[in-house]
Amino acid sequence: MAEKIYEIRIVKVDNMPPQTRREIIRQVNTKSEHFDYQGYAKITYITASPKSIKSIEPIEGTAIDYFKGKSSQISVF
Amino acid sequence: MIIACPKAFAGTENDMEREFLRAYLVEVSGREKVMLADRVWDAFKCKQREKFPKLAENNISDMRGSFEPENSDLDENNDEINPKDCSYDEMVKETNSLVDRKWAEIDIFLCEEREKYSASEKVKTINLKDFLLECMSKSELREFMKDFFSRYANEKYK
Repeated sequence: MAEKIYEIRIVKVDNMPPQTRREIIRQVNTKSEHFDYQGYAKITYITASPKSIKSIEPIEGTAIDYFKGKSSQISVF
Repeated sequence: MIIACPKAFAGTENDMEREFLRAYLVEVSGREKVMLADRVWDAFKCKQREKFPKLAENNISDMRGSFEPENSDLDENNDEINPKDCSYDEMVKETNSLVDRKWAEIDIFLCEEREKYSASEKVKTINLKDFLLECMSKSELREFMKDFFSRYANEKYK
């Protein structure tokens, strides 16, 4: 059974603490040169209280790219 | 604090404007989420699980990154409190109550149906389209807005 995910947050890496920025940059350096990193990352939390991080990873493009097209899946009202 | 009505949060219109709001929250505040009435969040979860059984859990986790209910939807053991669906009128009523109770802390009430919310008169009330337009006039958001429109231009303005 897949692990339950509590929350997914997109963050601007510049606003994160230094150790987080270093980890993101380390991961970006392992990606191919075609990976379009623009300073944003995705944090996945598995629990809410205390907040527990499952993963943090750089994303391609910006937050605009990440959210683009998502609304059609969430419209319910 | 930003509060949203059910339609601003997950309505079937204004997709682009809602996506803009979510990107704006990342860009500008980094931490702030839009608050919802508890029953709106509960109804959203119920309807997601009904309409998109395979995608619902991921959609809910994803939306939690931008939106939150007034009160946690978890119990003391960190387990989800069983969400209860409700009618649209009940969602409107509870959202109106939320705005009425928290009016002094509210910066913006994002609302698509102003006439349904009597408490909207107490706070700055704006719909998603006007929120986007208001951001267009802010000089500090110039680059962000340019980026936003360039990424949407191909699909939306063909």
